[in-house]
Amino acid sequence: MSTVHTPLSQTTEYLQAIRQRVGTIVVGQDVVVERMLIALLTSGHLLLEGMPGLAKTLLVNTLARAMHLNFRRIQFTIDLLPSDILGSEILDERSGGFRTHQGPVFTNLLLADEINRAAPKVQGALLEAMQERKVTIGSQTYGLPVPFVVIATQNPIEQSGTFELPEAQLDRFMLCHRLGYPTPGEEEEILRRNLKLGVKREGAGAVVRTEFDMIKEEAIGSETDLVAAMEAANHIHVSDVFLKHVVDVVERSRKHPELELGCSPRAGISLLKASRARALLHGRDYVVPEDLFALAEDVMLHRIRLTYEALAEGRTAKAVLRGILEESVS
Amino acid sequence: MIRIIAIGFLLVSGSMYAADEVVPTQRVGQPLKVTEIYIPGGEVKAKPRRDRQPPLMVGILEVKPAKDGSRYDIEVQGLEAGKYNLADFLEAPEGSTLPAIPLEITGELPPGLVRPHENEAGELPKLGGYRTTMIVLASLWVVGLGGILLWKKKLPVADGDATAANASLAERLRPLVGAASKGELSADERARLERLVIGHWREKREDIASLPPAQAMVKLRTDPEAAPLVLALERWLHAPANTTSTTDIEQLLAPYAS
Repeated sequence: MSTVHTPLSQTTEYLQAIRQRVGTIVVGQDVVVERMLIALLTSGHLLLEGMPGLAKTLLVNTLARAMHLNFRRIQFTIDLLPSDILGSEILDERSGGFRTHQGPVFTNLLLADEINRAAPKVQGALLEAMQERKVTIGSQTYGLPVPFVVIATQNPIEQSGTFELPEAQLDRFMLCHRLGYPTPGEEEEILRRNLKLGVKREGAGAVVRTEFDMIKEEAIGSETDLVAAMEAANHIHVSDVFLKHVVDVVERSRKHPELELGCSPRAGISLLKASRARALLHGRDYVVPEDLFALAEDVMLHRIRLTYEALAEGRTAKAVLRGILEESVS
Repeated sequence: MIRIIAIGFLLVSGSMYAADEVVPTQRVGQPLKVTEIYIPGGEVKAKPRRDRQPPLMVGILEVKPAKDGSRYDIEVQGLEAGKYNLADFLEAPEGSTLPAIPLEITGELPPGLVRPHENEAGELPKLGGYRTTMIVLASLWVVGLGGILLWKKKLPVADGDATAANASLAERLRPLVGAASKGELSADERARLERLVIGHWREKREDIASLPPAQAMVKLRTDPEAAPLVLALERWLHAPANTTSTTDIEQLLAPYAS
């Protein structure tokens, strides 16, 4: 491994400290934390697929507090309107004029819970804001705070009353990570920690503590540290050989006989950016094939679509992608 | 006296006329109208057909009153050729007898009509009938569908030329290793070399080959046997400050040259 110079090691330590802080609240899910940090460092957006109760909100909340970022959460429902997210102009009775009410999208970390429950026009409004990083309310255009990262969730099983995100909108998410259940050991640790939570007194009353009460208020580092980390990620060296690997994998997805829709150029860019951030998180100043292979599923899987014949044969996109990656090294 | 002579003349002349009268004739199946038939006595009726035996179908079209009887217009349709007495097919009131009303039904074709020619051998019915036809059609449909699906199916990904695809991993690796030692590899070839080296370890180590590619890479970078070589290769190919000499590259790739 190459010698890591001081600024890089400092950045790596800062990021490691954040991961450790999250780890004190959320058991397991280290990969998800890594993906969240990758999204933050590369100004990408993250889609989390997983069952309810896997501590998605807790994770985002903990990360936002640890990094001293603003955090908002929107529960997507069928009756949600674009103005509920973006904001609207409200008539001010005192002045007689309109004043702008900025919606929850004006934050650093936005958790869009169950994004597929909202109508397509609401999804479209958020995805536009994600793409352009600015919002128009009335005749005024407002820039969104920086950094701005959307972490959206969707339930992969419950499809009743949902509006599936079309491929073009899924492509706007840099990463789509599939959350799994914790291992038995992690599950035991979750239960043990929960047993120790106790009761919180509030005036004359009391309430049972939750994991949210355990989140520490003080942040690790400052906004400057985050900016430095983002700059460091942007300076991670990418060799010509690595570029060839990315092109090869993306190209294979486009030519694969079982895929109707291969990866877009945006997928290649995402793979490159995410690999840089991952290299930084692992203390390297250059990317290696391991970064590509580790991130391929999260970057590529939601961007590919199987052919009708492949679906009829019972093939899955995950298996096809694994085949593509294996073919590339054989 | 004169009256008796006149009556006698009339009877004789009448019987002479009857002898010369032309018998109404018609072909089988064709309607024959017999009009102005005088039948003395009460009104007669056509005998009802109770079965298919009677060779004539008789219908009384009109009854006109006449002195001591009636005049009838009758339509007859013959079903079998022969000479008949129409009276046999009529019902007279009780106590009265009907005069003979001869007619003839012929079975001959009209003059000049060509007789039906001899039977000729016809075409055989379709082999197997409906079920076989349906099976043949269904088979053709399935074959057609299969053809369309195979035709539409994309060709497998071509990895280089056919010779390269058929060559073993070691055979493909050897020239690249040789060129790398001389420092003659392009970025494309170096990328291919690295992928083949990873493939070499996957082929060599079953425990690594069975893992998903992402986990296999992690394993390779920590494996006591593979890690030194893989990490050195990574430094040569990916590190920004590359200090790997030609000798180092030769040593690095030596295990893959055989």
